[in-house]
Amino acid sequence: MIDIKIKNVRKNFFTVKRGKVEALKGIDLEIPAGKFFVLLGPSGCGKSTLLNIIAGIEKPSEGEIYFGEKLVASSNKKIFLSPKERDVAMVFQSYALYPHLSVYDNIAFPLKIAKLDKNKIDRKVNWAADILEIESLLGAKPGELSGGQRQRVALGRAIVREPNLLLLDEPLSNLDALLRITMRSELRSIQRKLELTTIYVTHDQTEAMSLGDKIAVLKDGVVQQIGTPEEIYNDPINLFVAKFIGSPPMNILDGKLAEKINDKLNFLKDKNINDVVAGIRPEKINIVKKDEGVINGKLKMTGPPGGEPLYYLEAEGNEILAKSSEIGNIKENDEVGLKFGKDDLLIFDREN
Amino acid sequence: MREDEIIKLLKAVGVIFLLIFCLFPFLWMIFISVNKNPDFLSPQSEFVLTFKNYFEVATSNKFHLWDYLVNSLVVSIASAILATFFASLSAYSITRLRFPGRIVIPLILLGFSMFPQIAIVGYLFGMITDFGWLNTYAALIFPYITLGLPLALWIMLSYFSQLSTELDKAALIDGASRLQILFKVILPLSLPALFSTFMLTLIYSFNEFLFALMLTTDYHGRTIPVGIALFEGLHGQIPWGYIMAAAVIAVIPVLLLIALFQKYIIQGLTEGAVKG
Repeated sequence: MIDIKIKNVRKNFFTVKRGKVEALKGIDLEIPAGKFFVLLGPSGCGKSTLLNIIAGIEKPSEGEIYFGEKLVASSNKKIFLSPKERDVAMVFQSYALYPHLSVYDNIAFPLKIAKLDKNKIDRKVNWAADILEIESLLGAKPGELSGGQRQRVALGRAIVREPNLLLLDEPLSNLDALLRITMRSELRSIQRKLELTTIYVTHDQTEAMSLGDKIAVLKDGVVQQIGTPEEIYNDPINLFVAKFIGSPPMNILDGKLAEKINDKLNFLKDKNINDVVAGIRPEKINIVKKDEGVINGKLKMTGPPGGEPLYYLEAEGNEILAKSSEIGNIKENDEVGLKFGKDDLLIFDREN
Repeated sequence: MREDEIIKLLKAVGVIFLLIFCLFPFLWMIFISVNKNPDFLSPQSEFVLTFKNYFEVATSNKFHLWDYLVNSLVVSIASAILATFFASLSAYSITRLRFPGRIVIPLILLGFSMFPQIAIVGYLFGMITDFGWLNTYAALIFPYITLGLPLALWIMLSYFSQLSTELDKAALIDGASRLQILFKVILPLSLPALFSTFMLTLIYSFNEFLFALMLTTDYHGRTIPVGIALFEGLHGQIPWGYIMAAAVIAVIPVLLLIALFQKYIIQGLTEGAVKG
């Protein structure tokens, strides 16, 4: 167990086509020891680059990284430790198993490189195989395995060294939906059992919400918000985070700031921002009879059949999703009212 | 006739034509080598079957056939192994490491390979003489590595660039050094490319004539193409029977090598294809 500190890390690339590209624009993060930390963001936000920099595969252009008290990368002091010296393990999206080696040899690979003696390697490989329930596959080649089994082998290769830090780069995105959900909970329980400090990169907010002790939301190489899943869901710091988190997504309503309600709105008022948007989660909206809610709207569509109902509405030029209705039998094109609490409304500056 | 039958027939005709086209010189060679009157300029002369030519080139000391063959095999196998080795090292660094000029290097090498051999043979002769390597294996092995390297590098480059760099990253994370990655991960996965590179450079060196002619003086260093070409007959006539018999014998080891390695090449290729 070890905690990780990332201080003002920047990364610039130079490409022929685009010139200088700033992939990371000053990242500050603290990853607590033994916790499951998720880096969440859309593709191209720099999350994988950050993971590679933490792993020691890429050098940061600026900034410092500490593993515990140990400085492992610093642009000023010209320190850059290799992945080996950092003692990190990583699971890749493509699994990156060695196709020519058996499952046993794949898991044993890092131990053989570290020149452990044979008995110890054997004990450790069996220990990892036992945790991941892949003892019966040890003789097989990766090509003979299913996606889920490969995933387990990749995880086995990562945990067999009992590393300082476990890095996971979208490890579940190549699995089918059902398997993804079971692997997700298994991953979580293995991480808890071994108390490994873990950094998990994903673009899937459901994964992030269900796995993370803490989440950092990234966009365009900048950390938008760091917090527990609850904090990020209930109190998103800006419009981007609000829209990115939650399924179905948050409803966004155009508006103008008319009165001051709380500190946040005061802050916006002080900066003379009148043009704002309001966000409200679908589950906070209840459909009531016309004129009984806060605003009126028209039902456009319901769906899907079976499962939780979803109501697609239109109100004052905005498309709105709602999850519950007090009216038993509503049909398309019915005029209804939308009821929600003032506190459930989140107000954002349109420009972020 | 149905359409697929026509296609089948056309394919068969094509294959037969190709076979005749490729094999005819070879068959002609065998035909002359077993003829008692091996004068292929006057084909009306009678064909009499004999194995005298084979017997004489194989046993008579004046031909040095076995010396030439051993020289050829040593020189071409050594240069093919070294060229393949250096090509894999440089292909790995060009495809995996970031350093200035890594895009230009293969192009420069390709440029070198277009340089006519005859243009450098004079300087090469001077250099090899200065090294004191004339008529030794080293005199041929080093130039052959240089000749084979551009082709070898390009084959290895195209193969390595197909291999996912995530494997390299995984191995780096697992604590392997760059050389360990090359030898434990990349090369075992590149067996088909290694074998084909090895075979092509081997055949190139085995067949090379000009350098071998210039840089060797007798059977201590001379390779088989030069050796055979310099066979002398009585009264200055060209001993076609001996030449053809020796050529047939010389082909055998290369054929065996190809037969042996082809199995691995095909195996490796199909293995790569079904890897999902």
